[in-house]
Amino acid sequence: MDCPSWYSALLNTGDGDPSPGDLGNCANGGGDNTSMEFDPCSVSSELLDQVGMGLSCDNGALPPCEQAASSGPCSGGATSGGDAPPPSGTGSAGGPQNRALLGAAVAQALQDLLKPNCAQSVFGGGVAKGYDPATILTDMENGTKYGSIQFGSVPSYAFATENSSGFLFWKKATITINTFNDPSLGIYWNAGNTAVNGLALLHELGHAFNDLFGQGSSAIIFDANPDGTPNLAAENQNAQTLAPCN
Amino acid sequence: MQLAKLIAIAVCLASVVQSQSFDFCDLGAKLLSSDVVIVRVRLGFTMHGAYLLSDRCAHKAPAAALLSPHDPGAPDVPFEIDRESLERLKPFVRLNGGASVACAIVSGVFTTAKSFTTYRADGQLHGNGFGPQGALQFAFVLRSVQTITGCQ
Repeated sequence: MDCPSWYSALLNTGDGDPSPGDLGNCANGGGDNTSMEFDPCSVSSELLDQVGMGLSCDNGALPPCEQAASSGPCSGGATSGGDAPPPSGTGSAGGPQNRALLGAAVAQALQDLLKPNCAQSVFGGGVAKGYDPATILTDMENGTKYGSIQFGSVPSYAFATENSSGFLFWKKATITINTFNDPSLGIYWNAGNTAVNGLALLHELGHAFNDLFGQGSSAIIFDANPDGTPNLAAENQNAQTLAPCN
Repeated sequence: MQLAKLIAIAVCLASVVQSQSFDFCDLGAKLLSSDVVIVRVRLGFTMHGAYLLSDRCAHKAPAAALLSPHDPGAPDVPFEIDRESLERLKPFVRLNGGASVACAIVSGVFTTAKSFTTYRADGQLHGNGFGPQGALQFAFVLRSVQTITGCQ
């Protein structure tokens, strides 16, 4: 495998094991020192400092975009040009938002769990260990023993994420729901669609089950590859798994 | 004085707008650039985010998370996404489950996680970078979508 020299240099900016799976053993010195055309003036000075490549722009000048950022006319001009404002806002103007929508979504999810095969097919592994998905979801809604449901800034193209922290009996799961909303792009939480929100909670609860109670506690499988890239097949499978709850 | 100011503005704009088209698989050092670039790429969409995919590249290449300006982790960029680009993305966005893949030509800026580190927990890769688990070292801040079609 070719391991570009620029990447080896970049890896030195990390503090620990910086090896992303994508580049395999490049991080371990597997580079072939391929000479690639590389213009240091196209890279931020901060990054160059981190990389420590001994590169600099002629005359100590800032890289172009930093010049732009430090220049009034440039930064001002670059934001003009007829681009529309960023997508933002609440979508359902005046309606309930964020946590104010949580009660209805949880109620919907609890109803969904009562549908034939929903709880058993999605959370069967955890149920067999004595964990009731309705109880765990309610607990997380209240932010007690098993974790919490939070509302925060998540990248625009995501509905929600789930992460866990701690270990053994002190493990907690956190579902973070995107507060971003742009109805023209899709149905986000703050669109206020209870059916969509309830199903999304069950999806994230499935991830939380596996994190809290061990893999296999939910049929919702981890939807990233070992190297952190998205596992699209797993995402499709998870959508199928949730079909009985829909 | 006026002429000098105009020239300075022109040079600045040229450096910001300067764009060349690359295949995402072959970006190499361009991933480190703060220039606006035009990239041919496969995009993957899930309810946990959107990504520039590298799994079909002929050689090993890093993937990147797709961000919008002002997203968490996105650097300050001198542009916004235009509404037309969002309309083009809409059929492929999968906020409510499942996945889709699109082949697109997009413009924007790459960014790199500072002091990027990863670790494994419960068999999963986590890190301080981009993506739901922070496991991606690179992200791409989207400026526009020039073309986009469904693909495998």
